[in-house]
Amino acid sequence: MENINAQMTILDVVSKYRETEAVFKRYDQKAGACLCCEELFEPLWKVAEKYHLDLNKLMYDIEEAVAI
Amino acid sequence: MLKFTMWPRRDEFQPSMKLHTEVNRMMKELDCRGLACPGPVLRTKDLLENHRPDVIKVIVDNEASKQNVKRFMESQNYKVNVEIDGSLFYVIGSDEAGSEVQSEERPAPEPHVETKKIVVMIGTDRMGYGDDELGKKLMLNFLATLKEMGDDLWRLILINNGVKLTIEGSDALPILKELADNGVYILVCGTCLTYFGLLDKKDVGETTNMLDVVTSLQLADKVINI
Repeated sequence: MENINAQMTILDVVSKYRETEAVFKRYDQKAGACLCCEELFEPLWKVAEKYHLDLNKLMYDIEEAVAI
Repeated sequence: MLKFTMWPRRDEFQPSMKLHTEVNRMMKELDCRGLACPGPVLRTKDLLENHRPDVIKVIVDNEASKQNVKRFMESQNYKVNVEIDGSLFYVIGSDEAGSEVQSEERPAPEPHVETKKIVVMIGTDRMGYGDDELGKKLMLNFLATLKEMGDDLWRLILINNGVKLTIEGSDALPILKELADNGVYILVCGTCLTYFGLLDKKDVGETTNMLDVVTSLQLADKVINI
């Protein structure tokens, strides 16, 4: 599995690991926006910063989804 | 309520399908109506990576998808035009190195009248009542026979117990994957997967929500509900 890092865009992540789409959908509520609609081409760190998300938690949730 | 319709055999289909095939040598078309982001972009990405068509036309029904598909095509060096027809957006990309499609020369997009759009909604993992083992076998048989609908089978929606057909280890998985490979959009209820604790076990189709379901039913020519 390629190392997922915060420089990757949402599209990079969901296209390689389709199971992570559910993770981003869960974060829509926290963000107050559809992340896959509005920020598909933005790196994860920037998305976390913009919507005040816990980047470490987001990365953990993504990696957990891929690991299962 | 079960609605069941007889359809013609494959050898009775009209030659309009052959015409569509000839066009496909130059142009590929993706109908992404009813798909929530990032579905349209992911499908466009898969198509470009596998075929790199000279011209690609992606049909979407919302502004976000239109913008994302356009942006993705442009990132892949496609020249993009967008046409609007009512509530639909036709995002048309032409390969910079290939033939260019001029919007003023291209005829206006026509509605899809040749191919029906049939949605099959499945709310269970077995057919009928009385014997569950028989019911499961009948469901597998039903899914295997769905391909006889040909291109008329547009979407498969799985809700409630139906989502269990899509998880790892399901006997239905090879059949569903074959349908997906043949272009059938398989939508799997995310709420249902979460309820059953199966969200991460889904192995085919796209996780969807009620908006996608309602939109698919609205756009369908026929709905078969199992």
